[in-house]
Amino acid sequence: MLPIPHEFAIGGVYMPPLLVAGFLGGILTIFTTKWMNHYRISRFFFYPPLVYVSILVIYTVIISTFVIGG
Amino acid sequence: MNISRKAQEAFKTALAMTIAYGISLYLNWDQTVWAGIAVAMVSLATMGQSFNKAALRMIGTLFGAIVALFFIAQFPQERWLFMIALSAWVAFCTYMMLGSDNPYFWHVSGFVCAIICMGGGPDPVNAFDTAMLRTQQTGLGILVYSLVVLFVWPNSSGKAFLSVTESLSSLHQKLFQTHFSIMTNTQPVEESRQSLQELKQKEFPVLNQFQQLFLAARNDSSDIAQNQKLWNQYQVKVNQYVKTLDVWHENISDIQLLDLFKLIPGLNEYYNNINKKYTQIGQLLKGEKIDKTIETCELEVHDDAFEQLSHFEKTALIVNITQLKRIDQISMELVNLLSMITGQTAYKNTSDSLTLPSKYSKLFQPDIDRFSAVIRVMASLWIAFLSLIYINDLPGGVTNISILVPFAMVFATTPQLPVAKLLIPVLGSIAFACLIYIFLLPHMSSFLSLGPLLFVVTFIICYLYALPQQVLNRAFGLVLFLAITGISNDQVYSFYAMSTTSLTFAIIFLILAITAYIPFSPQPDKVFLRLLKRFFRSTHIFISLAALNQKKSLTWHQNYLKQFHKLQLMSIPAKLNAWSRFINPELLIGSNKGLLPIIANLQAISNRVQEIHVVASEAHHSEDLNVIIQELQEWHAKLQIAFTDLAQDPTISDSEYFQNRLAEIMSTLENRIKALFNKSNVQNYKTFEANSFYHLLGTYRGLSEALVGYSKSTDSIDWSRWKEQRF
Repeated sequence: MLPIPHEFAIGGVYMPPLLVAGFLGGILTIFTTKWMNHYRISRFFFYPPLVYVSILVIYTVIISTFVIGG
Repeated sequence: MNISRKAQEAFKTALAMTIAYGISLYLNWDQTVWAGIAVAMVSLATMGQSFNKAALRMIGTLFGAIVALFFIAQFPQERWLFMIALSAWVAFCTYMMLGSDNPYFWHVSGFVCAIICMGGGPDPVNAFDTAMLRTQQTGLGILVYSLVVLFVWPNSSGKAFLSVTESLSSLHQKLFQTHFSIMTNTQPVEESRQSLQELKQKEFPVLNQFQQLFLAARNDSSDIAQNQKLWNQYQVKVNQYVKTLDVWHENISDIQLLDLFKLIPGLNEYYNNINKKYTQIGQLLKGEKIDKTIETCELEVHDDAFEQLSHFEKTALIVNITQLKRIDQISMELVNLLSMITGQTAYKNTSDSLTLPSKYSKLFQPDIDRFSAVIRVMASLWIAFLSLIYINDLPGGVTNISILVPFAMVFATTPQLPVAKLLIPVLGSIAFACLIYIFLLPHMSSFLSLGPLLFVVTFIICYLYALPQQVLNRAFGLVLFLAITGISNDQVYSFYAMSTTSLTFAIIFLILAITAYIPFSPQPDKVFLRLLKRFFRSTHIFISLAALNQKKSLTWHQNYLKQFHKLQLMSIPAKLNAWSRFINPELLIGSNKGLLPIIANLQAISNRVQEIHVVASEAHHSEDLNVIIQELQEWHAKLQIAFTDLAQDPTISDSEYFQNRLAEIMSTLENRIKALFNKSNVQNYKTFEANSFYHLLGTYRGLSEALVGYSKSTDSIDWSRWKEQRF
């Protein structure tokens, strides 16, 4: 079952779920692309900046749908 | 009490900040933050440098304000036209910023116009008040800071300028001595080359400091201001000296194996003569008296020894002697200028016959890098503008554009600076400012408590980030502290305002990170390869316009092209040098000397190709030399083909092939020249014709050797990794 959409509270400050999901997605994207650079997997992409944005979007959607709910 | 220079400068900025805030709050002016930002931005190491920056900021603000009011008056109901006009102005300022002697003026003009347009555009009734407020707050900040630096520990640039000039002259003397020892083989070659590399690395920052301090010293030091014209000439001569040393360096290896002391009997005297001149320069800069000016030194060649050399050796020797004479001439002129500046000899007009710039150089010359900076700024501005229109309730609103423009202009004009690198200082500054805003500011009830807080925070930031390379951290720390706290007489404390300001910076950095890839990738290795291709494309076109024995003169279009590609050849090696420091070290594995040899060879190619234009146009030769000229034309055509190939792919060069081809050409030419000179009367190298011919030959040989050097220096690098795509 998918989590129910809800706001994210840190110290009494309510934040939209997309902001938190985007932030976590960004961090995961940084690690993933660093890993791809290290193992030279990035050379198989035609234009890495677009792939970077795509990975960011995929992570954000996955986190907001299955982890946080949004 | 001995207070460190760092503490003195931090104290001055903190005091000026507190006074500027005090006055602005007392007069009940709105947007006090602008006065504070003016103080933060104009504070520099010396009084002259600060005055210079303050004047540029003030004039830039006035200029930007006038343009902004014009746009607001012209397009009050036309948001698209209004934005097109604003972006055109910002684009113009960005383009000018990259090529101007006063880039700060254009920077301020561009972002002040954006700030006033964004502050006044949506609210045209108050647009004039916004423009006036910005101008008066900036004026207040500048005035207060200028008065503080004038009365509290005044620190003139004059002394610092003279001290840097002395360091530079001693560095140039050492460079001369090292070059001389390499040329004459009087010291172990490896040792000399090592010390030469160290000296060259020191030269660039000192030269840069010399130029910057001169601009400051003429504003705050009456001695320098009085002799400004002579100091200007001194600066020109120093630059000529640097260039001559570079050209000499490129030619040295050709005569290293010759017995130079036998060929040039007066070489030792020459060496002592140049050293004496540099000793005199040092004495003059210290304010000491010198006995008398030393004259230039004659460099006569021993005729019998000269005749025993091969023709290519003769060529190399003549080219080197020309450079040695030039160094002698310039160093004498430097002594003369300094003795006039110090009043030891009477002033006389020394402006020598400078080469007049080509009429085509006065025409507009497009610069690809400046245009790409403009495109990057435009992309940032329009993304911010379109998101403002099409995204409802975007945090920051119009403020996003006001804050984005100055950052976008800085990033576009210093493309080596990665956006991600500034993220940590910005986040740190935001967190620091938020802590003060939440925990300290609510306890302040009057200026008596606010003033000391402002003073202490400014002092701490300026003291911690006092080094020139920390200037961005200092600027961010101060500006974000002032922007987030938003100090005013009717102080409001709102978590919403604070989080919005923080989110605004997140949005701005996101936009800047995206536009860093517009129009080209900012990855240093990709930029390096792109610049290499551009360099060889320009070399190919430039050399094809300098054909020998050219019957027709160049058309207007060809002359324009020639000037454009000449500028490319002159500027690209320096750009490559700047980018080379940012290349990922993993890409240089296997190459022990890094990219420096590549850049040195490119500089040599650039100098030689330009020389070919001059020498080919001045070459005078009789019918006797026609056979050789035909050989040279073939050589020229082969070089053209090599450069065309390199323009396609600068990494494919085959050093062995180039080396063999060069040896082949040189051996054929040596035999042809020998045969020709044996039967003709063009034997004496002192005749004008022979001299000009030797110069021509020397230039072609130098260019080919630089090409061989380039391909050798690229052999050790694994270029396949450079061409791979990476995040």
